[in-house]
Amino acid sequence: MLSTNGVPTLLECLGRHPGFRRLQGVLRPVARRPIWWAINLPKPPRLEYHEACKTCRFVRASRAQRLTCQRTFLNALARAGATRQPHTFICPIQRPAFVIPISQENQVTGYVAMCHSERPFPATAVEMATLAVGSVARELEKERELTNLYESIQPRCIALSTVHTIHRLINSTLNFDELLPRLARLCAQVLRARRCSIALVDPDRRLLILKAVAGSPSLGRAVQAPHPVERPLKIGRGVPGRVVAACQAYLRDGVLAVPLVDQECLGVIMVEGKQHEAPFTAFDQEILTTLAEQAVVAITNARLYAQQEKVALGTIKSLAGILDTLDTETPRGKPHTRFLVLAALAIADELGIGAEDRRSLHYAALLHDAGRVTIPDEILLKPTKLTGREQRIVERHPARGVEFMRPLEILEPAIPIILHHHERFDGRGYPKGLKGPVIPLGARIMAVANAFEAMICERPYREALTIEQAAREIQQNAGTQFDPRVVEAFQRLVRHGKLQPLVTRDLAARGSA
Amino acid sequence: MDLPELFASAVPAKIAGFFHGHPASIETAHGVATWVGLPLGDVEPALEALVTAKVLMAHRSGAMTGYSLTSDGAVVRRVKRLLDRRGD
Repeated sequence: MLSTNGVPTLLECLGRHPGFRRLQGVLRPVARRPIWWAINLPKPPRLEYHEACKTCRFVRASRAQRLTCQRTFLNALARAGATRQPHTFICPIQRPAFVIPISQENQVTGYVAMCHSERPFPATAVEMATLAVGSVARELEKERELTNLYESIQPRCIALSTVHTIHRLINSTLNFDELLPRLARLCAQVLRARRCSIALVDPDRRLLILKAVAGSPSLGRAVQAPHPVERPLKIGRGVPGRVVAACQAYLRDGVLAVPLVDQECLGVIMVEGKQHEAPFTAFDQEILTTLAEQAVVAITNARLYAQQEKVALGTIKSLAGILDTLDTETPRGKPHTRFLVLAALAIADELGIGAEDRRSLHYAALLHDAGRVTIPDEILLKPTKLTGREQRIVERHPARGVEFMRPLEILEPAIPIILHHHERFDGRGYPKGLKGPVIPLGARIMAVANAFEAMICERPYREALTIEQAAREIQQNAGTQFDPRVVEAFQRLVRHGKLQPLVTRDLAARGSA
Repeated sequence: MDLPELFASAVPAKIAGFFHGHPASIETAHGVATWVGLPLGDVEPALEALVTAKVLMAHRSGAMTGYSLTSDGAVVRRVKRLLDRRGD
C-alpha cells in the first residue's frame, strides 16, 4: 500500500490510525492506487523511487522522468516546509498530490505525502490526512521520549537494584570474618574488576591493614605485582594510604579507591583492572561510593556486635567462674569447665554446625551445671547410693540452672542445651526423658563432651582414663546414652589426634592456675 | 545439563540474556523475575540451573541469594555465542 521512503514506523502507525484509515476509505474511489510517502528529513536531497516504481509507469520508464518527478516533488516539499502547511500540487503526469509537513518543537522534521491520485480528491481529504499525521506524529514523539527515558533510566534502575541487593547481602551478617571477603567479592563483581581489596585503619598503630581481597583474574590479565596494601601500609603512603589520609576518592589509571568514612576514615575499598582494560568511570565511582557507605554501616554494626559478644562472653565466663567457686567439691570432683568447653566446641566444629549454634553451645558449656549449686551438700557429698527423693533433687538441677539463666536474654538459645544435656539418646535421661533427635543437637554434643571430661579427669576415687579408654567407653554407649552421629564425630577427633592437645592445654592451664 | 541444552529453553536463555546485557548486576530471584518479566516460579529453578552450569554465581547469605554473571571470561563468551545463535 505505501511507499517506504524515510520512516517506516510512521507509515506503519499511520496505517493503524483510525482517522487515516477513514481517509483511505474516502480516497479509494478517486485515488484508486495512490502512492504514500514518509520522508524523515526536513530537506531531503533526493527521493527513493524503489517502491514508487512498482505503481507509477512514468517514474519507472526512465531516469530522466524520475528526475522530473523528483524536482516537482522536492519543490512541493520545500513549499510545505517553508509554510509548515499542507501543500497540494500536480505531478508531471497531471495527477493530484499533496504534502503534509511533520513538525516537532516548531521544527519541520519530515513529511507525509500522497501522489498518483487518478482524480482530484476532496479538500477534506488533506484536512483529514493532516489531522491523522499530526496525531500519529505526537504519539510517535511520546513513544520516542519514553524509549529514550527507559534507555537512560533502566541501567540506573538496575544499578540501584544491585546496590540494594548488596546492601541486603552485606547486612545479613554480623560476622566480621564473613563480611569483608563477601563485600570484596561483591564489589569486584559489580565493578567488573580483576581485583578488589579492603583495608582498614588500625588506629593504635596508624597503619592500614589489608583485611580482604577478591579477584577475578579470568576477566583479563591478572594483577601481577604484589600490591603495597598487602603489607601494613603507613597512612599517607601508596594509593590506599593517600585515600585514607585525604579521605577522598582516587580514580586514575585503572584504579578506583574510595574511603570508608564514618565519623572518621575507617579504611579504603580499592578496585583495580576493569574488564576489557576499560577505565573506571565517574559512574563506577558513584557506585563504589554508595557501596562504601553501606559497607561502613555493616562494618560498624559487625564491630559493635563483636564488642557486645565479647562483653557477653566475658560476663558469662565471670558467672561461670563464680558458680565454679560456689560449687561443692564432691567425691565425683568438680567439672573442668574449660576442657568441657574445648571438647564440646571441637565436636561441634567436626559436625560443621553453624556459627549461631556454636555460640549457643559455647555459652551452654560454660554454664551447663549452674544448677548444681542448688543441690544440698549432703546429697552431693553422700558416698552411698542416692534415695529416690535425692535422685529427683539431682535431676532437677538442669531446670534450676535454667531458672538462673532466663533473665539473661543473650542466653536464650543456650537454655535448651543447658536443660537437656543430661538426656540420653534412648530416652532414659533427665529431666524430660527426651529421645533421639528430639534432644537438641547442642545437648547431644554436651552429653558426649561431659562424659568424656568426667572420664579423662582424675577423681578422688579413681585414676583418670586415657583418651583411648574413654573413647572406647563412649563408643560402647553410642545409640543408647549418646547420639551415634555425635559419637562418630568425636571418634574422628580421637583418630586424628585432635583431642590430645586440648587435654594438654587444659592440664597446663590448671597447672598454672 | 549442558549449556546448549539449557539455552534451548526460553527462561534460562532470557535470564542469561539479562545478565549478559547487565554484567555488573547482582539480583535476587525476585529482582530477576521483575526485569525479565517472567513468573518467579519459573525464574527460581532456571537461576539455579544457570548456577549449576556455572553461567551465574550465587551469593548466598542466610535465606537470601543474590545472582550475578560469572567472572569466567570463557563462559561469558560462550554464553554470548549461544545467545547470538538464538537471536532473541
